[in-house]
Amino acid sequence: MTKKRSKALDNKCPSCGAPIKFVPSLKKWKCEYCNSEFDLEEMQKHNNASNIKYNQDSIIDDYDDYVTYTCQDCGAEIVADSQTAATFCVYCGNTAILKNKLSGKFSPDAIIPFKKEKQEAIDAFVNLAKGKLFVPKNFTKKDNIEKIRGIYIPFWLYDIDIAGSIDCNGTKIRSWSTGNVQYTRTEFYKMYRTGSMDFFKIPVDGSKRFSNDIMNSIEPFDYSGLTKYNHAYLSGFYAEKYDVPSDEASVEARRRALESGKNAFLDDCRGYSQKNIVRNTLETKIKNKYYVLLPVWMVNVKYNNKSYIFAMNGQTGEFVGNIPLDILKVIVWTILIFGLVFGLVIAIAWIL
Amino acid sequence: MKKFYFIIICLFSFVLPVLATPTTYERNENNHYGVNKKWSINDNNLEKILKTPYVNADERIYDFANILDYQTINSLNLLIEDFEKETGFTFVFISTNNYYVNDIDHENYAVDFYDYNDFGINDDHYSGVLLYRNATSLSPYYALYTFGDAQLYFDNQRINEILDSVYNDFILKNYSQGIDTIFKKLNSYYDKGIDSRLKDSYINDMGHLVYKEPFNIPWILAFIIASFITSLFICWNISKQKMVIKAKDAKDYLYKPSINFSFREDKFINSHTTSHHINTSSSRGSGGSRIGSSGGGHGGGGRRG
Repeated sequence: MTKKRSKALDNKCPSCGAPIKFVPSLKKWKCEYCNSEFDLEEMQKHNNASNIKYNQDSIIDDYDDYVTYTCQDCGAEIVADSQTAATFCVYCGNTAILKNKLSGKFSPDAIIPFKKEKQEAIDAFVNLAKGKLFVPKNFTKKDNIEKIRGIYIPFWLYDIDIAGSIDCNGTKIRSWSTGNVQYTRTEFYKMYRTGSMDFFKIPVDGSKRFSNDIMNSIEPFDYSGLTKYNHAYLSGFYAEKYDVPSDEASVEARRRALESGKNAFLDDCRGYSQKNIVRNTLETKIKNKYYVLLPVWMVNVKYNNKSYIFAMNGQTGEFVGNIPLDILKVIVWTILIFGLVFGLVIAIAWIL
Repeated sequence: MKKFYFIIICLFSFVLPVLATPTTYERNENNHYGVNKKWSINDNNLEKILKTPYVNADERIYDFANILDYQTINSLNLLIEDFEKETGFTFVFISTNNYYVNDIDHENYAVDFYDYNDFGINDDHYSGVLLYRNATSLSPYYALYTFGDAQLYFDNQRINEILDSVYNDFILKNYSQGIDTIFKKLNSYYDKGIDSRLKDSYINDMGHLVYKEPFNIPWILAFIIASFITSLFICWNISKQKMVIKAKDAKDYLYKPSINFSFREDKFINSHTTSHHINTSSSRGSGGSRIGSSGGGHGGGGRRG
């Protein structure tokens, strides 16, 4: 077990020195004590609003598996796991940004700041049952939300080029009638294509802690919102550092790019009723990679003693998660629809 | 002398009635050519009307060929009386020795005989059954034709079964037994009622059998369609609740203007052509009427022999 010493930062109000948080809807930092608001430029003037005096004195004991630090405001000793890059003091609620977790090779290239507020994530969950027939009664009640956290999730973004060729088999089917005879002509073709295409910023979740499928499901992020990383954006949110290395994450990005590449090649073979690739030499080449932090609201729900995880894209508001099925409702609807259609078919047959 | 009287009595009792030819009347304009049914008389059918024997429709047996003996006639009269009482359909027997080359000529003669005489006149559809026997050795033929509502009870399938069952009797001229069998079967079919294939069919004003496909509840079809639509509906709604999906591709990140194909070739390899007949038949099976020169409909059929 190695032990390192590093600093824990938090962001203080330049006016009053109280803890200050980033407010997504204002796109500014707002002090809840003196109501002062600051934009990024103003925060930077004050050294990202970090109170050096306090932070210089704070000590972080960084072990391989966990981190302990002393809260500058209340003096409590807080424990966080080794992936945590920004967290809160559980006693006084102050933000603690573990700067060494986000520096050096862990220093993000860019960040998309939160645009969606916590309340929007709650509203999204509460309204989740709309248009869905099989949601259990009371599942989307606000009270079922056990925990809701705004987290900056580490992502790898890859610019990938694809080049190569494919060989396909294809068929064209044509039918016509002459008198009482119907003819069907099936023509067989070989198609060859050589070409290339570019993919930009394919995201891959860089944290093992979060389900890749959930992270895939809240895609896409609007990359026009990417901005240069500044740890001040972490105020008021949790943050993770990556624990999936770039080489490992790139496998998934290449797989996705190849799949889309093959589809694009097949789409170019037009006019065929059936087509399938018999050989392809498509290769991927990573042109650029970026390490970014992307905003996600994680919503933990407890219902009937079972836990469910939902996530909301903190930028676009895309809300995903698997809602449990109310089996009784499924049965009732099945009987209802079956009976209705069955009766309708018989009625139509009788009329005709 | 006694022997002479016995012969005379026998002659009057047995031979003369058998040899008696049915009385026919002249058709002319004054009696509207003997046609009292609703058929219109025109240039197309006048010749056929005039060729058709005009008879007293109160009788039922017209043995122009003299093939029935006295006993058979008596027995047939009783059978007809019972049949008409039971069914309400008129029953007519006609025999002839006319020579016809084509089977259809037999049918035309028999049907015209029924249509242009007053058989079934008291029934809206002139319902009845006609047993026809052509006894000529050159073109022997026997047939059962049905008119009006009798077409529903005695459809072509049933008539064919009856004709098949009496084939030997008619070939061997065993008319007594053949006629007996015919009535047994007719009565039996009448008791069974209209066949399920014709239960929704009906007879129109002109005596045509209008075939209507009976409504059979399409249980299996309804089950399949209902299962399919229900499955789609349920799966679609379940999928709405399963929002976590593994990303399969990266189409959102493909820069479309960057797609560049430096080589394209589509090579024809071979082809094959298949064909099949389109079934355009509108036939709906047995049960449809044929139309006589009168315009009225009739069913039934006949056999050579």
